[in-house]
Amino acid sequence: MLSIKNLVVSLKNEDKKILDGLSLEVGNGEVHAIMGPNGTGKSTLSKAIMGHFLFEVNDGEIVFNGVKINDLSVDERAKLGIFLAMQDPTVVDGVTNSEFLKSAYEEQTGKHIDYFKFINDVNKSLDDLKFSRDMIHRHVNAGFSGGEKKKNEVLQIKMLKPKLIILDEIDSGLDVDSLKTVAENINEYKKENPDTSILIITHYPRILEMIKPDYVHIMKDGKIVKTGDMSLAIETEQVGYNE
Amino acid sequence: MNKIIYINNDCVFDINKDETLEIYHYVVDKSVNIKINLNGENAKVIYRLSIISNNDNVCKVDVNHVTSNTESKIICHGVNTGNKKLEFNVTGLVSKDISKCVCKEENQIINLKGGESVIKPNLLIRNYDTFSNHAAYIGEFSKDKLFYLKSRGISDANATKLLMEGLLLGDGDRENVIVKEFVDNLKEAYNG
Repeated sequence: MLSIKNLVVSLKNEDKKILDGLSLEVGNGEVHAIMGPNGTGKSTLSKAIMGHFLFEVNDGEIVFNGVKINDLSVDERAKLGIFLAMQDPTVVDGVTNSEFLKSAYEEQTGKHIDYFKFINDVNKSLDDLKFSRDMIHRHVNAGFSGGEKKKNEVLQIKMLKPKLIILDEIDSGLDVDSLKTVAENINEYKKENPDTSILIITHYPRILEMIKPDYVHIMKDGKIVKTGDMSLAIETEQVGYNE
Repeated sequence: MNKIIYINNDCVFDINKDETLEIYHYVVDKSVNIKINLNGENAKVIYRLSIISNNDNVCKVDVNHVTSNTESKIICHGVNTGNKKLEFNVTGLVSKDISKCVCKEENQIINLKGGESVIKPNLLIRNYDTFSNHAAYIGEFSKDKLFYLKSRGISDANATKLLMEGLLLGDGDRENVIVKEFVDNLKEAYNG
């Protein structure tokens, strides 16, 4: 599904390489986790896949389902089925969640929304996420707690049905109950859509005990230095990244 | 007494003791001249200006705290769609013998093209016992907000449209006839 070869990424107009020859293969339906110390380029990788405006791909290629996406716009990548659940989701004042989701759904599917179905689906997803139904009328992430912002990301996943989900530190700032709710909803989505692949970026193995990875990668200095299974995550937590 | 009104023309407002007036002002490509007098104790005003501007326009808003214990909150939002000049000239006046007032203003102009925009936030506060602040922003829509919207599959044009609607319509009643007329003009603005 996702094939990254020898990716070199820097901040725009700066020479320093943040990703330095990173390669990664994610197959259909696989769950991969990336761990690594602060500043090693984990979030940069997620943003580079999504085409963030701050970063420039200097070399290498990102291929998604056979399509090289290096030069695609952000919305084109999303329309292919890539979803980045952000570490700190952006507040968009003045735009309600309802307008936002409706626009995203219509653009991704190319169809006008069926309001009755849309409202039913949204309400069901909000109930699953233990989220107040009135949030849909609130402005996107405005006045949301950290946990509510993360749940809003999962709501969007459930409504937009992506093929590749990148969870960039979805566990940061979540209490144990909210983390459990978020993980349960992601697992449920994965069960309903078994071909969906997931890339989890995290510092802690706790979320990996809830969303089980097939592969765990350790990143250091802008590249993947070690790959293993869940035992690698547990071992790394015990001994740290320098061992 | 609390009152909410929707306008699309210049007006002078005299707000009396214990009255609260919330004004939604929607303007398409013309200059604005608004005067608000807070005449009695506990008089309050929330004034929201939303303007789409394609030519040279000046929006002048004057708020005079005539009496102590009065409150004003002025919010002016504009989108400069062309390459001309949009100016906000917003003045809050609290004279020396008037105390315990709240005088706030927030101004924002988004330049969609190469237009020149100016904000003059004037707080003429002569009394020390006043709570006052202002904010002013001129520039493009936030790249972070555009990225977030686009990362969900929304095109650049539609993301800009959503942000324009969010900035200009705010929480105004979209069923109101003045707002509906403004929305039609907004659609024309982002379509062309």
